[in-house]
Amino acid sequence: MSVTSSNTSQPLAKRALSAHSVFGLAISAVLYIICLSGTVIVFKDEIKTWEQRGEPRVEQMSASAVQAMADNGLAAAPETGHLILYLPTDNILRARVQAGAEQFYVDAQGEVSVASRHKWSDFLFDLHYYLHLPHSFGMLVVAIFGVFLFGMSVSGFLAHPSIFKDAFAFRRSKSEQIKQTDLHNRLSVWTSPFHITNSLTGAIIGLSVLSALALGNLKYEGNMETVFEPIYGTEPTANEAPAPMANVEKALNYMAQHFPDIPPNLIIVHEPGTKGQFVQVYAQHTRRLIYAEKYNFDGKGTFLGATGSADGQWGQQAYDSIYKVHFGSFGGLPVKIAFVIFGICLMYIITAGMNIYFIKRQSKGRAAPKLQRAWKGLVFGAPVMLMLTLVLAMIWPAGSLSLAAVFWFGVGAMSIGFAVRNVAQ
Amino acid sequence: MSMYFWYAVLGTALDFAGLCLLWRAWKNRGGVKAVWLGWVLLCAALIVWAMAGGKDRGVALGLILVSLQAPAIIGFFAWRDKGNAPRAKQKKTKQAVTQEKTKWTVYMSRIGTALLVGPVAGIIAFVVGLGVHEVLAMVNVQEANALAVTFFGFPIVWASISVFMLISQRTRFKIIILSTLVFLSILVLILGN
Repeated sequence: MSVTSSNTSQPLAKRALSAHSVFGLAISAVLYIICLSGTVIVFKDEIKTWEQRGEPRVEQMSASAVQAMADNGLAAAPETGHLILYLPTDNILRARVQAGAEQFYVDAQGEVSVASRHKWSDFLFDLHYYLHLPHSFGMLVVAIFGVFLFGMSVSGFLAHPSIFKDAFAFRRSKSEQIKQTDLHNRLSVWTSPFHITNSLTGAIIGLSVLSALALGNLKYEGNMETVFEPIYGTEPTANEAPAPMANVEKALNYMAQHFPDIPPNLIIVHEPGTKGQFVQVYAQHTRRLIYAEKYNFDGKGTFLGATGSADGQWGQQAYDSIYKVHFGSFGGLPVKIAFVIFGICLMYIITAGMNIYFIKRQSKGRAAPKLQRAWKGLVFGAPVMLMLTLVLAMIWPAGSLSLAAVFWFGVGAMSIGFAVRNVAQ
Repeated sequence: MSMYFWYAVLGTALDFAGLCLLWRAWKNRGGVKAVWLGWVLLCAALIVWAMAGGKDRGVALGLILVSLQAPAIIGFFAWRDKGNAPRAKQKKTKQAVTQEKTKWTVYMSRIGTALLVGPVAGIIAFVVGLGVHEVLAMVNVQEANALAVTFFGFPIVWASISVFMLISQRTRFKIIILSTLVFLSILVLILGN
């Protein structure tokens, strides 16, 4: 079913395959590392808990304990503009308070324990979100890789006119090239719901800031936060005059009374300790993909209304679903395991794609052994270096050793090492 | 066991039945009815999953299951057929006959392509996204929905333009289409601001 253009051009499938190869060759190496870190990051909550496993285990907190948590958090950083209270959930039996740049663990009574230190998690997050580049630039770069991964999916589908009829074909007894091609194609097709949604959500997370920046300049005199208000709700007008800490306890009691089936998992106190402060209680709708509905309260704990992430405009619901869809945190352990399997599949798809490229070159007498070896070095080196950084973080949790430098230097060295070893042979 | 559990069981069974039908139909290169029935069963499975796990979350769970079951089916039959299938003779390939020497013009062309599908396509998609937002604002679409279309549309349009640039061989056609898109978007932005 090849479609040809009107002039003497190649069939569409062939051109799409060529486009697919261009994308693949351009992005495979970095994309592989983003996928690897993304696959591990699926278990981010568990990794964080494991990294600082001596901290108090908190299964439940009373409303008064959360109030104490807020009071203590503000005392730790009185100048902070936002106080974020992470409540214990089924997945994470820990409570943390974030005041400014600092995060502290909290016990069941709301008393501050120790500052949270997640050296390896932070390294892993920085790798997946920013590739260890400066944050705003790095996020953009990672988002662009999301765009190109989506482009690869589109060109891949266009390149295979009989993609459905061949959807179950795996010619295991054929040549290496056919085997690799079949596996690449079959896994790509059947896991496409995963890698299409993941590439798009990843790209949206990074690129929406750019759009918001432009819209802020065009519509709201440079204020980007106003752009997001239709989605996240409007913050009340700031009033810097000092006031007692917001009544979080009353807000939580209201939640327990009126929304008993929707457990709060996060509370943000905006402008805490001022007259303009207000409280947003994030509550999980466990049968939805949305991150949370936001229930808004004023400083006295009076309910103002919900933002509408659960039942507002479809745009609000869709945008609020990006996080859970990207990280697979919408179905407990089974979905997390499925996401890890899909992540490994995607890494295999990338690797098989490159293998096909090298086999084709070799069969045409244009072998690139150094490049092939370097690629192998990256494929084996990236997970090995990730493990090494984990070991280093365990040995020196408070050390000043840069895990990012170790990782990138190690991956580079292994790639070069593999390539050079080929020459020696 | 709750009602949701039984819905999930039914959804899983429908997923599996749909996939098996498609496998059988496509393997025999025929059976249009079986293909249709396979797709219908898969759609029915997603509806049942929506009842089991929530309207959007349930569909996602159903899709996850399809994505896990299909490779498992492929793996199972590949493993079972391996013993029966004759081993293909490995085609001997030329071992590193030549090291390719690439001319600088080829490198320049590659850099040009990278710039086209990267920054150029990105800027076009960015402007088109803002233009679409402006149009939606003009026709009084709710702001949250207009924002979602803009945010979701930007990467989709970028990727589509990149693929279009690489696939289309007619340079004039590409230039006309893309410049028209940019021109219209800028026009709408000027009118709306």
